[in-house]
Amino acid sequence: MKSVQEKPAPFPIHDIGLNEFSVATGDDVIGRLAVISLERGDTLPDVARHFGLGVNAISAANPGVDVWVPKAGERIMLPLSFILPDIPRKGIVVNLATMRLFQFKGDSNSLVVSTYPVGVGTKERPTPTGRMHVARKASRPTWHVPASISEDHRKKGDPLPAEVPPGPQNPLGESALYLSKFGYLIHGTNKPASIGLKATNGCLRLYPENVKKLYDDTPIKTPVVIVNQPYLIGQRNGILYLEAHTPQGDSGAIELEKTYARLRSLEKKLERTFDWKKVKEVKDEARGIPVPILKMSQGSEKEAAKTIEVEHPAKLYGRPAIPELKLEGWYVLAADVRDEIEALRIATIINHQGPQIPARVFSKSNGYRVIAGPFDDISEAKEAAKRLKIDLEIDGILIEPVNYLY
Amino acid sequence: MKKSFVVILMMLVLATTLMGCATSGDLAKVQAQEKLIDAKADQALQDAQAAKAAADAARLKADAATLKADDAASRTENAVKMAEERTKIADERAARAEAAFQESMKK
Repeated sequence: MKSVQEKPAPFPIHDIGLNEFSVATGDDVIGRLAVISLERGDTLPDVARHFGLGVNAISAANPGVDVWVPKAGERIMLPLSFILPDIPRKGIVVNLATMRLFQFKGDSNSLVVSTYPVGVGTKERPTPTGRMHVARKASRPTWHVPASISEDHRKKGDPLPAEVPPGPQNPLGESALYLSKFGYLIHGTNKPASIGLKATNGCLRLYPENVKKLYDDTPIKTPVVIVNQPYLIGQRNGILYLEAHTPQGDSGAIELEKTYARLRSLEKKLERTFDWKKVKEVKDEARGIPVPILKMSQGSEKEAAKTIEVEHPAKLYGRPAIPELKLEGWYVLAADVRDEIEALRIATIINHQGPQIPARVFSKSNGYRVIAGPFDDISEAKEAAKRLKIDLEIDGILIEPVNYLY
Repeated sequence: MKKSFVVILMMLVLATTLMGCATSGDLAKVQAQEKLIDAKADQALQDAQAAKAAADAARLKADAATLKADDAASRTENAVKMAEERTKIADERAARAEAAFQESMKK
């Protein structure tokens, strides 16, 4: 008789925790790793958003996978397991190195943590670390444009008003928590694809769906601690894990030395010998995934190795929708290239602008065209062409409606 | 009983056929729209290219003169180099597109 080993059915998405976890006493690791098979047209930013991950996390976990045009059928890792930062579990804790925010609720007997990916400050304008608190909150905030950003935009030929009211042009999104450190906020965004990137002026950005929940769950005066911990050590079910991320700025060497010192101390305390080669491998790969490095008790191997396969959702949450073509619409020819992958990459990047600029690829006998639109009128098309030029350095060509009469 | 079963079956077949027609019609409509918009894109591209043509013509003339001066051997060598360059350029283009995207995500 022929033996057939069946592949286990994928987990329905609702069965895996994405944002909220209970933390068992003594545990430092939450969540579980998962894998998913990609479908045609998927992008890593879309998959990341659906599963509550930042683009940094999904890219680091899947080195070599094309962010914008991954292959259909490719199986990718969803790094949905996290080691909690080494800091008292109270209020809001943000780890800049992992680009993740943790919100602790309850007490040490029944601790619950909600976690969300964030976008953080650039190298030039980094997010400050330290202790602060939520000073005030605002729903549908007005953005008072700081002088430095106003100057940047003026130089690019894209002057901004002094104030941007709530709406699609407002980069603060729908909700904002103003921190006691003046000028720094935790807010939503009109550029969801920027979550997991160093793209802010020091603020912390969340996906629109996450900031709403955080806003509702966070009282004023909630303590906020911002740390920078690229190397995390933690245990769960008797297994010791190490999670390594690419360090931000020049903090890498110091943080690494601290981590090695902590591991050496643990080695002494546990009276066990660590696999230092494995530790170095985890550090060098920096995939942002908790990797088991030591079994501290018997019978826990099975638990540590389990990665689940999740089914592909019918629709990825937040994926930019492309409106239907219409003959009376205006369009912008954004690119005319020979390579299909290049055309698809340009189109998806345009689609993921905030606010979205819809774009699609037209296939031709001798190449591919990226066409943005449809736009209702010439001014809307011109505005899109201007944004393509300023934001993406694309020289777009206006295409008038099919039956356009002069 | 048998008669009503046959009627239901006929209704199902008819509904499926009609559904098929609607889907094909939709596809044809989208393809026709794509074709028309693409023709307009051709026209827009030609206009833009014509405007650029005058400036390019002078440069091409100069390039042609330079090429003529080159001997056949160096042209072959250049062709190999250019093929290598093309691969490099494709990678660089992807990297540039990513860099531009990251820059565009700032406020």
